[in-house]
Amino acid sequence: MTQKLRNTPIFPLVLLVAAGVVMALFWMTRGVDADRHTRTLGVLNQLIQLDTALDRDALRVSSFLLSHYDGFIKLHGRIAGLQAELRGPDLGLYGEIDAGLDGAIERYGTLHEDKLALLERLKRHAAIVRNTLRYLPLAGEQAGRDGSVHQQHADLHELIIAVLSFNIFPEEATRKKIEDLVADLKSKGDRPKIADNIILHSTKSREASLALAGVVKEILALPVRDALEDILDRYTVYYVARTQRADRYRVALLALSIALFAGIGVALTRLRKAHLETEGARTRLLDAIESIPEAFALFDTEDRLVLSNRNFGRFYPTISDDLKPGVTFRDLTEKSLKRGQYGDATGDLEERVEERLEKRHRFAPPWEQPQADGRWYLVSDGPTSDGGIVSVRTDITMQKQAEESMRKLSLAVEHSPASIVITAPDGTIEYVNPKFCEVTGYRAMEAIGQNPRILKSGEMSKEQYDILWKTITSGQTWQGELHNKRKDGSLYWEWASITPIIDDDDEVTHFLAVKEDITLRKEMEDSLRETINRLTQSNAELERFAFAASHDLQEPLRMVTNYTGLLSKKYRGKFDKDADEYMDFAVEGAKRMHRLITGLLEYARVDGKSVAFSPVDCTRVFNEVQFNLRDAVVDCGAAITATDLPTVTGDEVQIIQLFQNLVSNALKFRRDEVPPEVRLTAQQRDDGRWLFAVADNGIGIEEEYLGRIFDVFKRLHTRQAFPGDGIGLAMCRRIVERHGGEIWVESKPGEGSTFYFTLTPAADAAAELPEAAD
Amino acid sequence: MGKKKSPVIALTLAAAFWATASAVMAGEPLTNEPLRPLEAVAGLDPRQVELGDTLFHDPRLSADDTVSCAFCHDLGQGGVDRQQFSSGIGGAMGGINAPTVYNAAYNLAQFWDGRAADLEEQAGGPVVNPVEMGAAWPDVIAKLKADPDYVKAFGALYPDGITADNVRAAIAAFERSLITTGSPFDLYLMGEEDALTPDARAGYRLFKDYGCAACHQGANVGGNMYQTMGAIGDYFGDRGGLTKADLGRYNVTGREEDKHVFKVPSLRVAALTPPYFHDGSRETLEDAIATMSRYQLGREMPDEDVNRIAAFLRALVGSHARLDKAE
Repeated sequence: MTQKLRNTPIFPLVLLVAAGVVMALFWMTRGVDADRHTRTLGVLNQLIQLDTALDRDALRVSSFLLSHYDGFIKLHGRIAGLQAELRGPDLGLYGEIDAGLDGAIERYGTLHEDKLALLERLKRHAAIVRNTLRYLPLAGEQAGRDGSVHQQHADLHELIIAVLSFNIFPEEATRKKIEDLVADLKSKGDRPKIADNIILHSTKSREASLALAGVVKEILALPVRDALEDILDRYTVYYVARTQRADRYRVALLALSIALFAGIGVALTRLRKAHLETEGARTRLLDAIESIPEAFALFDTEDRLVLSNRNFGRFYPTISDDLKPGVTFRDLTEKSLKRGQYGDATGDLEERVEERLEKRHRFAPPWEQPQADGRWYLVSDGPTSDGGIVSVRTDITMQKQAEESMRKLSLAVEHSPASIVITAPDGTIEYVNPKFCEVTGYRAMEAIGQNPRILKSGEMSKEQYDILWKTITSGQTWQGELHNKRKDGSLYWEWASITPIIDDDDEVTHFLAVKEDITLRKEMEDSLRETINRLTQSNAELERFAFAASHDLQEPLRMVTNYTGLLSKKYRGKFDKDADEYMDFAVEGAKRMHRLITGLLEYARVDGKSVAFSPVDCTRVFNEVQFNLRDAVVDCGAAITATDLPTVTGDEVQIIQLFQNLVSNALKFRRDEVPPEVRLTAQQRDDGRWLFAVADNGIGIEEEYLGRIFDVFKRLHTRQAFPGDGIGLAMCRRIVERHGGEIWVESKPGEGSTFYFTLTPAADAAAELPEAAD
Repeated sequence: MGKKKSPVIALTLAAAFWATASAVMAGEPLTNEPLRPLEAVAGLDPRQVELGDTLFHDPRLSADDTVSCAFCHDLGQGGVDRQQFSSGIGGAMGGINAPTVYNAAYNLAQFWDGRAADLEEQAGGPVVNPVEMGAAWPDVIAKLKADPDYVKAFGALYPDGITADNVRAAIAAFERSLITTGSPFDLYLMGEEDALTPDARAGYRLFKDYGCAACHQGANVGGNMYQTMGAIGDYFGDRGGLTKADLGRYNVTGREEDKHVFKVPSLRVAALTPPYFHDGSRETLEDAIATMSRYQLGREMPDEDVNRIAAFLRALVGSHARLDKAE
């Protein structure tokens, strides 16, 4: 890390310095500018040429070959311009290279100024010479015409010739001659004006000629050209050195440029590598963000979206199309609110947006957000190190639902009418519900942390506990009764269901005991069992008594019957009319007594008979019954019908008696003037048993009597109205119950009654009634 | 068809040839003459000229806002004040005759003694000369800057706006536009023989024969060399009362041989600019011609010749809008 920190800034610094050096080198090589060099040489060469032209013009002036000086002035101007250029910044010569060159340029300037001054003198003298030379011959001619000068004429003529000749050949002898002639002429005293004028012009001409020759000599002697060549030489030396140096710089520049390119290449490679690494890291990060089950979004410092995973769009379908980088969280919030994303959509939109943003920007702890579709998200907004915001949404709908059902469940447990105890695998109590406390007298705080053995009463054997423990530790539910002890020492019974709670790894994590206090039930069962035993006992005794009584009564009754019969037969009409009537009563009573006893005996025998049950065809039974009752049917004009009747399991004799009792009962309790109709039907119920119905159109039974018509000796009517011994229906019930069925009646007084009973079908009789096996 | 047309063509060709031939014969320009026709200066910026014109006439260039360039160089009267010596601010008198600004562009240097290499240098001289305009450049610039029109005009022409250099450049540009072209003599040189009167033609020949043209030559008829005042005769000895100005170019170079050396003045508008010479000592053109002949040529010139030369000099005056307007 430290090495990296140290390394990183140095490389660009090196590149920067190298680039700087390259620029500097480039700046140094810039001086050798081909155009400028050409121009410099051009200027110098032109100056040399123009200086030569000046010299040439000087000679032409001195020979009076120039008629005017306009061209000469133009030449001056051109030289002045070039000189200004020579000293100007464009060529970069003067004041920029070295003192030697500057000195040479200044020397040239001075020399040129001198030359110009000389040229001006040249022009002045030339004008004078020219004019005097032109005038002298004229003056000579004029003097010739003037008679007053003839004595000096020859001298004047000679003077003029000498002056003219001196102009062409300025020799010392000629000059001397002129001077002598002038002196001679002047000494001769009185002269005409023309002679004076010739002398004056000759003198002036000689002076000017001499000066002219001197000036020409001076001009030609001026080393202007040398000065210019000196400049050229110095410049050339400078230029060669400069070029060599520039070449060296160029080589350096080239080398450094190559190095720089190489450096840039290395930098680019590094950059590319770093870029690829960054890209890879970014891809991995994006993959990771995409693969998490949560919704994820990153926002910048302006709270604009930087990136979000697909889950974010799935979590918020109303804004999934808006999740593009750059969109603000405020926009997203407004849109999702408007489009009904949330489950608690109430209140002013603007207020809600502000409230939401406030919560977001103070980084409230994670909170739960209800959605319109019933889902719940855990909202977590956290700051990033660079001032942005990371938004994570977790779908907690399942937890919320589990929480809800847990809440309901715990409510159910809390208010359960059963005691509930949850223990750790080692039996330590972790939870008890209020009912437990109510039953045991222990407060929850007292029970929790204890072992359920605090409830042990000592009334149960060790084996029972072993079985319980073995069952539940093997993962099964144990059910059974426990006899436990309350906190106050009293005992109680409870029905317990103990279930191990097993986790995904088949490990028991808890035991759950649901217990019902059955102390009361236990007590009631005990007393019931006692009552049944007593009843069974007294019933048996009663039956034995009834059989014995009826059997033993048969003999004396037969005596009474037989002898009252004999008495009636033998002595009828022998006593008074009352005696006959009395005898009839006695005989009739004896017969009724006989029927009663016979019926009672049969009733008592119903249970006692040990006939094996067999299939009984009820159609055959019905036919038998019709035959037995044929006289009674004919007497009262009854219509007896039956649908298809099934085959049942039972004692055929008893079943015939059952049918016969019910049909004869229907015939007996018929209404006056209405011929009785009896109808037998049977239909199989859902439980497989056959439900038989015997319906009549007789007098019916008042509702208040329905409960007791099946009791022994319960007659509803006088014997005169309806004959009978009061045993028939009791007998029916006894038969039906012996066959495992039920019997009951429905009736409407004045319309008729329907007797219902059930019997077991033939096929599964043996399975249904195991007690019939003996 | 071709046959019918050929005589017409032949006739046309013949006519053209005749016309050309006669033109050549009628107007052949004179060559190898010491004098040449004047040509206007090419390549001037009219905006610069206009600004220079304004400045040339602006008295704010003087210390007390009384004297402009035009005060002494009246363009309507030959570019001079026609005084012996010019008067400056507060009536101060100068010591030299004002030369004309017309055709000054063609002078090899400016002022009588040639102390200014060009018009730019010259234009600044009188501004700061105590006996002329007597101003100081910073004051002048401040005054000009107060004038929005100047600020605008200078701003449009020069990146650095109103400066002494730019004022001088503008005035110089204006002065370069003051060329008097198309004089009768120039027409004569270009082949119109009738442009000159016989007197003037004779004057020109005398001008050359006497040797005037040894110094007064070229397009400007002078202005392109220096000459000693009194080349043959002793001008100053005869005149007396030597002044510093009489030393001429010596005042510039300090060379003994430059004493009494002056720039040979242009004679182009000489007919309009009396009095004459640096000392303004000659009132008439004829007087000036005679004086020149005496001291420069060492000859007495007959009046007849003087008059002819004067006629010639009058034919040298060309035309210029400013010059003609006043006449």
